[in-house]
Amino acid sequence: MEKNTKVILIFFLAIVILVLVMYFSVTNPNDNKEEIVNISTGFFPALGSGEIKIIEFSDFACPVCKLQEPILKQVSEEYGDKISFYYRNFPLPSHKNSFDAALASSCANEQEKFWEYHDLLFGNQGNFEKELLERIASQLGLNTQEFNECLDSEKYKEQVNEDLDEGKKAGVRGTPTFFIDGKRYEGFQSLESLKNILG
Amino acid sequence: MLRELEIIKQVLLRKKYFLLFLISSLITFFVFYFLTLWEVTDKSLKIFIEMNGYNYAFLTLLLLGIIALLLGVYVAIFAFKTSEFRENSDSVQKSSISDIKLTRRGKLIGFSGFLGFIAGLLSSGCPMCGSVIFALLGFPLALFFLPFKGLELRLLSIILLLFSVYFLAKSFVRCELKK
Repeated sequence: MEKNTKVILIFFLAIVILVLVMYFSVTNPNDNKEEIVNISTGFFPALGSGEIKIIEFSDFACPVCKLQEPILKQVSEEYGDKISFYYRNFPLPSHKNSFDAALASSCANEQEKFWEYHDLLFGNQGNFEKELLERIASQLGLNTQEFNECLDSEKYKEQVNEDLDEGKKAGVRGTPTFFIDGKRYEGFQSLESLKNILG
Repeated sequence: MLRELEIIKQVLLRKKYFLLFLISSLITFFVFYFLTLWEVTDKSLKIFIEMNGYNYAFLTLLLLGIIALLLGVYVAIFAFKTSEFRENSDSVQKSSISDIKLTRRGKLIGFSGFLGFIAGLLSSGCPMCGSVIFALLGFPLALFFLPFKGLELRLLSIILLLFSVYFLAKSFVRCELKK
């Protein structure tokens, strides 16, 4: 065998080995379970009133959930009459102040501004200090006194914990996790894959 | 695959990361272009084409452009991963969050990206008149002795960068619940 051919062969073999090593070292979190999970829709109002139920377990401080947002908006626009979309809190302990953000979203829900607050939370993702949460509330024209009392007293702590517990029982291991008509889909979903699921 | 592409797209749709992608790509391309013409008389592209042929010159610029774009994408999504995940992580648990440098997977992705960049850098040169990087290593005419005059190095660079970009995007498809 010519020397050059040998070099090229070794070279491509090395690439193949590298690719295989990388492939097997990266776990695929999209191991969607075939089983249908009976899961409640949670505490927040649905977006849309269609027959297909999409329940998202999400964390306001999760960058991947933020990346997912524009895609969900597109899906809502395209499938508005076919789907009903529900949001459930799943604040991860590893994210700074995400539990407070979840509590704040429940407080906003009390004043019927959940989705508006939800959008602004994702828009201002970062360090959810109390000051920021209150500023968002006042930006939306919420009754800030009521909102602050609700947030300070952790009025909806049980509600957030209930979301967390139910999510864990249903096999949620990270965010975002979707249940579409009871079937679980883990991690970021592309527009194409959501379209395929929704048909 | 679609999911990873969509993640990259969503990251690049954000102004900060798109700018980072653009700047990194442009800088890389100009560095590669400059190194390619370094040993050419008057650093002239016209002379480079005359010495190496139109097809070779076209392929060289095309592949270097692709390498620069891929490197830009890699830099942008790496910056997204490190800054966004860290910004949102609790300082107490910071060590358990997306420390891609510490994991075996992260090391492989980083190593592959680095190798891709090095291969691109090594391939930046003129086979007939010499390569400045190979000259620093003591083999100024190394590209001339390669079977495809350095095109194989550019291809290797593209393959390595493609894989590092893909696996880097794949590594943050969700925020994990740590046990």
